[in-house]
Amino acid sequence: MTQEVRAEALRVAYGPVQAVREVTFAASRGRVVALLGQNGAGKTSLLKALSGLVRPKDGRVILDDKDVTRRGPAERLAAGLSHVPEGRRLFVTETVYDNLLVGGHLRRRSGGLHAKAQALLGDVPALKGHHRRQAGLLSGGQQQLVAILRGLMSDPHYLLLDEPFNGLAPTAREDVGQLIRDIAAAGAGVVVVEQLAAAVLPIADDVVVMNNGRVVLTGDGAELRDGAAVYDAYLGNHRSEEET
Amino acid sequence: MIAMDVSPALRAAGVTATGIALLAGALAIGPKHAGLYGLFVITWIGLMGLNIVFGHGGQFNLAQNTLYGIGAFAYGVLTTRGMNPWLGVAIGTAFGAFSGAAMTFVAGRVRGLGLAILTLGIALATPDLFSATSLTGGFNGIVGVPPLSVGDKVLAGNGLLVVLAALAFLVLLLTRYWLTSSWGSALRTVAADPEAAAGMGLNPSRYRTLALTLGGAIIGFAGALYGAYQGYLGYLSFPVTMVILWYLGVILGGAGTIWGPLIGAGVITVVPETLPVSDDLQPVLWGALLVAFVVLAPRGVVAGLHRLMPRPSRSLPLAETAVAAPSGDLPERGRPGGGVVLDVEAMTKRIGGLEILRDVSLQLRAGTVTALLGANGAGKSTLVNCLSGYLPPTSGTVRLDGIDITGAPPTKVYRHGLVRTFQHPRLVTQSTVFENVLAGVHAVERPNALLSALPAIVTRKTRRRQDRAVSAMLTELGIGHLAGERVGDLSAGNRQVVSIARSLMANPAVLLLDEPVAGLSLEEMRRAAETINIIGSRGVAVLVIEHRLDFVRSVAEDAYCLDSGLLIAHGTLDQVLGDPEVRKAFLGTAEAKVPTSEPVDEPRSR
Repeated sequence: MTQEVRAEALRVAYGPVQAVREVTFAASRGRVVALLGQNGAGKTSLLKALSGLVRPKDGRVILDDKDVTRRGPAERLAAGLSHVPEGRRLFVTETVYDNLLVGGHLRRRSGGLHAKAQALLGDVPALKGHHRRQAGLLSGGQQQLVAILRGLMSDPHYLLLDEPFNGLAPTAREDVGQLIRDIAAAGAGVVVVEQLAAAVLPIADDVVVMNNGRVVLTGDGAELRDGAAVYDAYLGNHRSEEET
Repeated sequence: MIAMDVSPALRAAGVTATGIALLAGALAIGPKHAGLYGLFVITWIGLMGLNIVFGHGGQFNLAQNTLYGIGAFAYGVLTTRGMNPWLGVAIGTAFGAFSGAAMTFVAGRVRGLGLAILTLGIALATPDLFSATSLTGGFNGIVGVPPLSVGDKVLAGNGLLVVLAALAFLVLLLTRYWLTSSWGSALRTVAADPEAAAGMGLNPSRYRTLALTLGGAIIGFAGALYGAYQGYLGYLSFPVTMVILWYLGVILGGAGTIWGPLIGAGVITVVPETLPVSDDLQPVLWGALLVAFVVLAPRGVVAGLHRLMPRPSRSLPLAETAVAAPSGDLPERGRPGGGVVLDVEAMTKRIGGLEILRDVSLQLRAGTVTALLGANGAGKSTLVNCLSGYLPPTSGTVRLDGIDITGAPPTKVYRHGLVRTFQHPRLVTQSTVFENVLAGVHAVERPNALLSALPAIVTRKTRRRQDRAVSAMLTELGIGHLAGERVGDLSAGNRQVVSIARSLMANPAVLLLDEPVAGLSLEEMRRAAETINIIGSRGVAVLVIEHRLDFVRSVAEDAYCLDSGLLIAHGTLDQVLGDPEVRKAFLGTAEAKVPTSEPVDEPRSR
């Protein structure tokens, strides 16, 4: 079994606007993939197509060798693919703990819901003492951590994070980056969508840059760490996979 | 109208045929159905009025029975006191117009569902208002309302029907003329997207008032005819159910079309009376028919028929004759020579406690394309909104050609020559390319919308000139062959070009383009770049906000870069893109120390 989530020649369009044009992309378990690109490059659309939130016009989504293109988001979640959308979207009037419980709604293994929530929270020092607080009262960084933990409640093999560093202070970024590394180290594949590459490059195993709905650069996280090649790709200098 | 998906000759033939059919019907119909025929014609007139208000103007105003009743009672009250019937009709019409205008005044800024509820109140109160005053005959109503007459001869029978049909035909010609002119395009633009319309110099509330005034006049006119035709007016003659039927008629026929009201009036007056079943079953069959209508033609019968019609060639009839000079019929406003046209000084914008823009100064030169770069949330959109009048800046000044336009509303800014586009082209998707661009002319040529609403003769020449200017613009931007296409059927790239063409009809000195190539393919992007270069060469100062730097490099000479509301770089595009600060703005800063991807010492359970 190939343990990866894969998009094959995927196309996403909103009316006449093409967001993703025949993109092939894969993320395997245990690795952090940075999916970079400017505003409107098609990153979020690709992510949504992977998790089933938008229906692609063309192409396939393969989850651990299974074609899930026609499956809904709930089925994909049950099969081990979890999506944490941009902007955190916590239930701000509920407690941190209850927010996590909601994420366990579709747990593949029944039982152990509370044990799971407690275990997850116990692993994150930045949330210590906040478990019973209203989620809306936490700092942005803490809220992001809660959102990620909620995404982990279904025991996913793959976690898709949309702009988890957005608007966070440096120390908060450190906490989120640490958590992402931990998740990958524990065996799950993590896809991190970001516009501001600098935040995610240091923790990425693989880097994929999109521009205008296409993948224009793929590479090793360590090689691209200084950001020069990514900036070049933003400027449109990489034409490797574009039409001529 | 020049460009529609049915050829003009066919359209003219359709109008003539309708006129002939109406008159023939009026002459030939037997006494058994004469009453119904008259009601059908009068209802048609009323629906044409409602179609201006709701179908084209997009106002969900339910007080149609009020306008209709006011027209009818004005006629009844005045003619029973000895006034000439035709003068009575004229005054009924005027009352309708006045009441329509008054309603927009009362409704103020209320729109959508709020307007529907407000006017529903008026509609519900209407029968009681008529029964409560002795002027309108109280509960007895007005009996013996004088019929229409010519000299001493009272009109009756087929002669009366001929007169009514002729009047309805006249209203058709008049409304058709209005609605296919730039005034109609402007009205539909305001209905579809008031915010975008304001950005092209169209004052939404003025158009709403005008639509209800014109619609009210027509409905009042229909009401007066109804009074003369029925000979009796009671307080129950204008119930709320009438409003529902009228809306049904307009929607069934096709809201926002020219012929919808004719079909709708036929359906709501004739069909229920002629169903071939017993009285008990009539409402059931009538209801079933309505359901069938809406299922088969959800956007109305006219739209349904359109789909069945053969689509003629798409070319623009006037394209070949279009003048070579770019938009030669309108005065040129571009200023060659590269002087500063737009001068922004120390602009700051605070929203709540947040400083979105801090001390931003920039200059745009004539004939130069300047790029505004910056990551998400840098403040680019806020800057554009502050420049185009959508947001008032907290401090700082904007000078256009030396004139201070700081804080002026969008319609004013537009007339001074600063035009913006929106990230997603905000066009009227139901209308054709030609109509959309025509709306752009209207704002410049007729700041006073009333003038172009006046009778045909006055503006016929203006209209031809406007049509020519639109054709020339479409040809120049290479989309002349799309003139008759519905915008909803176009690709994203072509929509952007249409949106730019519409903006250019104002002959702007400054054009602000908000992400003009978002979501476009490389080929479409190249075309957009060509378009923008043409605009620049015409002497317009262009500001392009764009994330796609490859595109920016194909159009812009100068650039500014915003980061967190601050200008961090400006100069030539190459200078700006090479600036390390700019690079940081795009990639973010890596100041946060996060672990690298080397194996973490002790993997924790997740």
